[in-house]
Amino acid sequence: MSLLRKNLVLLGGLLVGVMGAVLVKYGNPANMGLCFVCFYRDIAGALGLHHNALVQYLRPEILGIFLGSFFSALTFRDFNPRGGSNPAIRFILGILIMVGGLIFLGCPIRAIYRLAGGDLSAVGGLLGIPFGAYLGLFFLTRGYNLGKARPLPRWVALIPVGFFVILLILLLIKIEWQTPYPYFSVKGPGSMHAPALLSLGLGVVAGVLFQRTRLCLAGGFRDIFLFNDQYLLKGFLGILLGALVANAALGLFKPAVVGPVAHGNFVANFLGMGLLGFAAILLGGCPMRQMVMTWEANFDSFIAILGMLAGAGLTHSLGLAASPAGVTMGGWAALALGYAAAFAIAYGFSLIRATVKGEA
Amino acid sequence: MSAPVIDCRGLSCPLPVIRVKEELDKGQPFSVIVDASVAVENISRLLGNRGVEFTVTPQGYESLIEVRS
Repeated sequence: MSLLRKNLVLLGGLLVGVMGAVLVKYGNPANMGLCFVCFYRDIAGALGLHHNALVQYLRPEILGIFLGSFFSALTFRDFNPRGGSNPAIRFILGILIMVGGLIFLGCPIRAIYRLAGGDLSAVGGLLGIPFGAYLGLFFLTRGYNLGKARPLPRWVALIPVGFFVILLILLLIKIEWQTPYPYFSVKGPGSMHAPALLSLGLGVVAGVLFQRTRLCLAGGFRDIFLFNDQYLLKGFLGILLGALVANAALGLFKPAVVGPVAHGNFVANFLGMGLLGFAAILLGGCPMRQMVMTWEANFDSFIAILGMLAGAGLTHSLGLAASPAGVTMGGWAALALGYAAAFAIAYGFSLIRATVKGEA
Repeated sequence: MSAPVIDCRGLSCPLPVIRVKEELDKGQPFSVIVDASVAVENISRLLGNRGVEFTVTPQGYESLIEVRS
């Protein structure tokens, strides 16, 4: 492998780090240049899956990532329609990702952005990711397997494309004619955003970068534990480095024990991100990677995305999501239930290999 | 042609790499079929790090990786 190929992920990470700072400079909420948990939550809100008026917006970054990853996958022949590897369980794991992510208030990428913005409360979440990855791997190395995905007809791959084209049209209609639907926040984090075209454009760039580098925030620790392979973790470090430098340059680095749009409960941050990491390893990729794999025509990943949107709706409708005020009673209950469900799935699908010997 | 062929098509990340690692520990030559370029890259990195000789033959969306061990 050439030196460039080996370090492409580092370069991609650096760019994503800088991009995050730029998006915040132009209007995104603090340390939220890109955040797959927060943005799925905002999209769920925009669609009316929850009615928290503070977090509703059709984040154009996600729609840009759709376009970027989709055309990148088509161009580089990674568009290979397949699915059918226990979609229902993947939907549930998607929900669990959002429960964990909305307790911490962010995805692994935002955890890095938060640290790079001087928010020390991110440390609990960042430590939670390897903890969750370790839990997942414990079962993965003991036979956990959701089953094989099989080839699908090409038209099936058009379903997620259609869904996201509709989101793009909804965004355009809203911007052009100020329609009541989709719902966009007028105050709170949902109302804070960079100009839509900038978000969309940088999203396209990020989509291509993510697709080409295979960056995966759950995979980074997984590969270290399993094979002592640092390739994916370099992407992690790239984002941190890029965001740190860009934040410092743009005057966005503000050291604080608890930063903006965050809370300082260490245990909740650790366990929340732990649940996200656990569920992500059981799915085979972090919330960002699920999006990119959707555009590589992996229908199971699309189901996981739908699970995350539903999870955001549930979490906010039932008052389970944390806020800068802290974690609710319901939030703690959901966290406990989330772990119970994740362990049950992990254990149950590890038994299968023991029973059906021979079937890989 | 007695070397075993492991079919890793359709398996989620990182199961193909785990299967290859299990097989490597047996110390015999073998082949793997995968259907995603991310699996090819992950397996190639593992084999490269271990200093194992191997060849990759792409066939459409699928790839055959032959490990000489």
